Order: sequence, then structure tokens, then C-alpha cells
Amino acid sequence: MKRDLSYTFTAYLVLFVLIVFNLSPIIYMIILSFKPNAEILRGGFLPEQPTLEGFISVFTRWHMAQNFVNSLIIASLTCIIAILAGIFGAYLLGRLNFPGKFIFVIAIIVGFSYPSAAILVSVYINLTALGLYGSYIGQVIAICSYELPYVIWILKDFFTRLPKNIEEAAMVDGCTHLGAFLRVVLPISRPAIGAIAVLSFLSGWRNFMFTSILSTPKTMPVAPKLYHMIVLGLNDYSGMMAATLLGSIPTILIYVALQKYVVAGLRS
Amino acid sequence: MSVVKIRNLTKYFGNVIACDHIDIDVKDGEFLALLGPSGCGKTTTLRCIAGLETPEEGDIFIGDLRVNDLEPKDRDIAMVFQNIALYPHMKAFDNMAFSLKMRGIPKSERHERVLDAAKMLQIEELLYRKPDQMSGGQQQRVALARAIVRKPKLFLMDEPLSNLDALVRREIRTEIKRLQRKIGTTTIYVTHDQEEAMTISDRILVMRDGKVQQIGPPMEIYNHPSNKWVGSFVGSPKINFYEGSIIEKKEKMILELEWGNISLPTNICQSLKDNLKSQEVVIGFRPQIVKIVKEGKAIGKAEVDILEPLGSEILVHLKLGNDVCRALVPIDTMITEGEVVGIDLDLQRILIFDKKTGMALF
Amino acid sequence: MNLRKNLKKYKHIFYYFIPTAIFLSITTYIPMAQSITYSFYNLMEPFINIKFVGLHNYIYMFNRHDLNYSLYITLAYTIISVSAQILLGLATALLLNSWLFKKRAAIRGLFLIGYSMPSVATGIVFRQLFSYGPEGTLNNLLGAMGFGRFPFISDKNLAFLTITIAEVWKWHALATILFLAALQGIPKVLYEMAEVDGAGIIKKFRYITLPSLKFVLALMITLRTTFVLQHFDQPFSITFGGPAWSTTLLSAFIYRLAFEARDYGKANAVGVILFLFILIGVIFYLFVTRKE
Repeated sequence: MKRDLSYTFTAYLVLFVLIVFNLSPIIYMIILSFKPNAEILRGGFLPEQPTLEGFISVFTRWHMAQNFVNSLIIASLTCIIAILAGIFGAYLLGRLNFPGKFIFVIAIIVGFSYPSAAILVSVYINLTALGLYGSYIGQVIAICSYELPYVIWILKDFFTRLPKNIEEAAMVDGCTHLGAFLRVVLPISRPAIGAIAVLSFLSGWRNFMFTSILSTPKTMPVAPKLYHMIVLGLNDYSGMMAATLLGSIPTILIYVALQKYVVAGLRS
Repeated sequence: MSVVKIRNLTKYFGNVIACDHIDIDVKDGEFLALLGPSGCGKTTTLRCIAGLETPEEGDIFIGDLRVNDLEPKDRDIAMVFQNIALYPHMKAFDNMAFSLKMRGIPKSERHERVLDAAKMLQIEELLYRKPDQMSGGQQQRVALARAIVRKPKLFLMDEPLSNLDALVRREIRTEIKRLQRKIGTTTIYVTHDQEEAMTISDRILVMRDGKVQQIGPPMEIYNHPSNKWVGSFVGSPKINFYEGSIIEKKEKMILELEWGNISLPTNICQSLKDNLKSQEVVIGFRPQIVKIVKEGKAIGKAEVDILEPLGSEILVHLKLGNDVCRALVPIDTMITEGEVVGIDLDLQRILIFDKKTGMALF
Repeated sequence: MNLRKNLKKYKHIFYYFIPTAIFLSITTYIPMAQSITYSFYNLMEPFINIKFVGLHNYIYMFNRHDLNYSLYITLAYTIISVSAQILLGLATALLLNSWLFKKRAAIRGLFLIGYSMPSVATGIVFRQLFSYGPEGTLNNLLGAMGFGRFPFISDKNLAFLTITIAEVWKWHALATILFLAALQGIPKVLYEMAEVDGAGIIKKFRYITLPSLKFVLALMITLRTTFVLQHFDQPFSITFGGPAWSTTLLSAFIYRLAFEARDYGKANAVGVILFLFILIGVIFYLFVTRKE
């Protein structure tokens, strides 16, 4: 009896410590965003005079409304292109067999293994030469350099597991191979494609490395903007925390809400 | 008139030959079963006919048209698959209407044809359900309906019942036969189950290792297998084989076996004389023609090893010679394990094969 | 003859291959080929003397103290944080898996918050928390407790510690989720049988839990190593590369070489070197998952 009690107590204690460890930076971020800058400099824990000063400065002083719109545009475009290119590549890898397929598999693996930092250089040079520097599409193309192979790699297993012969049944019924793909395979793949849509959207939203170099202040999304806020060193801590919080909300919401699917996806 | 003609069909998978120069003539309106063990090439042959595989050599004709270069959708065929392959995102009605839609058939006619097919397979109440709301047997019925809605020249069925449980399998098997009789479309049906092939088809084509072994009506295959292998593959319980030699004594022929001698009847002797190449032969006799005699004349003696009651009969495993002999006797036969009994055979129904080639000698 | 037949047989493949090839070439393969090419050229602003220099960039970089140091700390960072992530993740998963906690999903959700945030965001939060000035929360706390203030970000070694802790903090949730899923897949029967045989907690762990986790463990190690080697966003947001270049991990090194020093040729050379390291990790990953 006594052993059980101390065992339970220790377990809960450890869990508590873990949760504190895990959540304290986030809780602090939230608290700081509601604290006026003067208070932050003074130290202390909870805000004595909670305020929305930080949030307001995000939009007035930092003009981040445009950045949020930019993030939305870039994330959406990434999502669309990732799906369009991804379904063909994943189907090719996951379901079709042809001589030389092995080379293609290797190519995809190499594709998401090449360091983004190095690709960034090439993309930068290319976009500048093409006059696309600072454009939305330029940033999306850059993000897709790793996102496309990644999406293809993840989605291929799904296509492998579809019911066998389903394309053949459609072909006998009157479709060409491509017709079978579009009319039968894709409609039953909706859940997987949905998952990929969400993942690639978030990936586009989060990207920092490419967008920091390839955007102009007008087209800069939230992530690099946050970085620039520190670099500019204006000591608007409240604003920065508020901006960070706002910029993280889409990702947190989606991940926590869709936990189940995230786990299932990770498991494969 | 043959509705399907196959000439010299040859297909390789890498170095393995799946179809070895196969020739088949399928008669109009017949139900032809392609029977054989796994890997014998029957499914590959079917898929070549369907256009889902491309043969290395050979010509395939459906009707009078050479279809080698045609896509599956242009061959006027309908196919039923082993794993059913219904479109999971469509209701049964749409599954069936899909092929008609692809051909541009107007909505009202589609509706009519789907309902007709549904009625024939008694699946009207399933029409608005999706595949995952049906049992395996129901799904396969829908798949069959999907095939007949097309009114094609040819039905191709690739082991459609293998994934269903035994009871459902028997039911649908009978329905398929009834359906085919009624509609009259030529059907090629692949199976590895010899009982299924025997009950359902007009003719059976037996395949092994990519080669055609024999083609003919079920009873012919059963009673007159062209070689030892066909004899053992078709027929349940399994046929008994024993090696022996033919000795000619005056006018008669005697088959000398390890456990006894059989004096062969005149008609058999005459057929044998023409075909006998060597004296080393193998006799084959099915359990059904083995007679157990307690007293009186018997060809040989055997010890009863195991008794397997099978309902209306008993499958008796006997130690005969240096091998096991199976006999099928009526359920009320008085017999016990360990008993030594006499064996007699219905000589008109024995089979004799050449020992070296395995070919039937008459 | 063979080629023509094959082309006919597989002609439908082109419908899928061509869009994929076009997209991937534009986004990935052409830039990749260019990157490798640039690594063999003298390519830096102001672009006056562009010429092929063979392995010069590589030799130059290998002899540089700052690259070797970056390599060293990247490896150290990777090994330490991957081990810590996995251990912490495993411990958390074991804890959550025990019968005490029914609300596993909710707790798991809580843990996912840090993981789901953009790395820049978490980096900035950590920078804020570990800051030395009066706004630095952690230092305020330590100061109030009498420990004094620590230059977590401006000291070479403390900065390394900071980014490593941040790395473990952010990513251990991933390990927790995967281990938890694996643990829940172990049939309870095995434990019951072991208890009947008289096994205590430690024996049960050693003979049942650990072997069942072997695959996930190997997977985690190879996968995380491959990714952590490339990590950029979070560490860079915390230290900007550290005092001078002392916490500049490899990806950041390439980034800074290219966009601060404006030497594209050498940056790509380092990139290729990093790529080779990553390939080793990927090969291990494939080896581990091949068996499944």
C-alpha cells in the first residue's frame, strides 16, 4: 500500500516536472506578450498591468499585417504545388513499376537529403537572374526544393496500400491509365492528400531559411520578420512575444487539433 | 465459330516463362475454366487476353479482331477480379454505371441497364450502399453485376471466389453458372480449385508451368486424363499410383504390380498394343473404384491404416505395397483399423501411364 | 527491338513521370546540380574573377579553423542533443504508458505545442528567456535566487549549452510520440507471462520492452541524426551564430559564408561536404527500414 502511494506520487511529480519543462517557455511567451515593455525590463513574474500593447505594436509599429498575408499566400501556394507535383511522383514511386524505378527512388532520396542551405545559394542566383527575386513564387519554388521530394516520399506508401487491381478494373471499364488515376485513384486518396495539404501548408508557413533571403520587405512572411525584429534591436519585447505568439497560432492549432492524424502519419 | 482464338501466346517474366506457346480456341457461349496450380500461367493468360499484360509473342483474337494492340477498354470485355476491386468511393449503383458512363451511354439507359443487372443478381437493395457497407459475398455480386451491365463479348474471371468463405463460395458459384447459362456470354474463368472447375464449366483447360496439359469437358478430364499429372491434379480424393510392368502372355497382357497382378481386359489390351512404348508403366486408379473384399477373389492384400468418416462415405487409408492407397467406401462398410483386407478394382476404370513420360497410354 | 517494345508497354508512365520530372527539376535537381558545380568555381561578389578552380574551395575550407570548428560543434551538437532527445522522449513515453495516465492524448497534445511552433518562433522565445539584459527571464530568476546572472548567449560555451537545451526541448516530443506508439503496440500478454515467470520491473524492461523498441530506436537515431545535422532555424535565431562564429552550425556556416561573406563557391563546397554526411545518415536510415 505504502509502496503504491509513493510510486504514484513520484510518477505524478515527474510528470509535473516534465510538463513544466515543456510548457514554461510557451507560458512565458504568452505572459510576456501581455506585459508592457516597462514591466518586462523590471523583471517579475505575472503582469501587474496586463495590456494589449504588444499586440497593437505588432500591427502599428511593425506593420505585420502584410507579413501575415504573405505567410498565408506562400503557405497556400506551397500547399497547392506540393499536392500537384506530389501526387504524380508518389503514385509513380508507390504504385507503378518500370525499369529504372530504382534510380528514381534514389533520386528522390537524394532530393530531400541535399542541404537546403546550399540549394538556397543556387536558387538565389537563379531567381535574381530571372528577375523573380522577392516574388512569392520564387520563395515557394525554393521551399518546394525539399518539400516536394519529402511529400512524394511520404505519400508513396499510401498509394502502395490502395486496393489492388483498382486501376485495372477502371481500365477494363473504359478508362485509359491516366483516366483511371484521375477518376478512381485520386478520389479514394482524399484523406491522404488532405494530410499532405496540411503538412505542406504548415511547412510553407514555418519556413525561415529560404524566405529570409529570397523576400523583400513587401513580400516577407512572418517567420523571417520575427528574426528581423530581433536584429533591428528595438527592444520591443512585448511586441516580439506577441508577434511570435500570433505567428505560431496556426501551427499550434492545427497540430494539436489533428494530433491523431499526425501520430498516425508519423507512424508510417 | 470461336469467339476467342489464341495462337502461340508466349510471355516471360524476366527469365521465367509464364506462358509457353499456348494455343486455345474458345467456343461461342461456352464456359471455359483455366485450371492449374499457382504459377502455372493461367492468370497471366487471362490478363493477356484482357490486355493487362503484353505477351512477347503470339496473337489474340476476340471475335475476328486481332486485339494485341488494343487497350483493355477497346476489347469489349468485362472482368471480375479476385480481390473484387470495386470502387470504394462510389455506391454500388455508380460502380455498375461507371463503365456505361465512360462509353457515353445516356443516363436513362444507364439507369435501366443497372437495374436489370441488379435484378438478375438480386442485389437491388444494395444499390445505394458503398462497398464497405457490404459483405464479401455481396461485394462480389455487385462486381458480377458490374460486368454484365456492359453486355460485352467476353467475361473474364480471375479466381473471383477465392477470397470468400466456403459457404458463400458455393452459393455464388451456382449463381455464376446459372447467370452464364441465361445470358450466354462466353466466359473464361481462372481457378486453382479443381472441384470448382469441374462443377461450373463446359470445358476445362488444364495448365502446368505455362503449358496446356489437356482441354476437354470435365468428365473427360476426370475419366481420361492425358497424363499422370492431370490425373493427380483433378479428382478428389487423390488418385492412387503404383508402378508396374506389362507382361505379354500369349494373347493376354498382365500388369505386374508389387502387391499383385492384374489381368487386363481385352479392350484395354487392344488400345495398349498401339501405344505401348516400354514395359514400365504406372497404373492410376481413383479411390472411388477400389473395392474392399473380405472374402473371395482379390488382386492384393492391404492393411487398414486410418479410417476417415466423411459423412456418406469412409475414406480408407490402406498400406498397400510400399505406398498408401486410398479407397472410398460406403459409410456402412464394416471395417476396422489394423484389419487386413483384400483389394479389388473396377478394371474398366483404371488408367495406365507410361512410366517415363507420364503420358496416358489409352 | 527491346527498347521499342518497352516504350510501348510503359508509355502510360510518361503521363506521371513528365510532370514530376519537370517540377522536381525546377525546384530541386537543377539547383542541386548548380550547387555542386559552383563548389568547383571561384564564385564570390563582386563576380569579377569567375573561373574553375577544381578542388581549391574544398582544400581551402578544410584548412580553415572556423570550418573545422563548425564541423566539430555540429557533430557534438548532433550527438548530444539526439541522445538527450531520445532518452528524454523514451523516459516520457514510458511514464505516459504506465497505467496511471488515462488522459494520455491530452498530455501528448500539451507536449506537442513546442514541437509544432515554427523554429524561428521558439528560437526567439529562448533568446528572450536566456537573455543577459534586464529582460532576460531566466537570469532574473537566477539572480533573484542568488545565483547571479549568466551570459547564456554571449559566452561561447554557455551559448552551445543553450542551443543544445533548446534543441532537446523542442524535439523530444517527437521521440515521445513515436516511442509511446511503439510501447502501446507491445501486447500486454507478454508482460503478464513475464510476471508469472517471476520477473521484476527491470527484467521486464530488459527482456520485453527494450527488444520491442529496437526498431523505433534505430529509426529515431538515424532519422534524428540526419535531420539535426542540418538544423538551422532555431539555433540561428537564438545566437545568430554565437559570439563571432562559435555556435555556427554547419547549415548556418553555409548560410553565413554565402550571404554575409558573399562567397558562393566556398559555401557550396561546404554544402557538398554536409551533403555527404547526410547521405551517410540516410543510408543508415534505409538500412534500418529496409527490413520492415
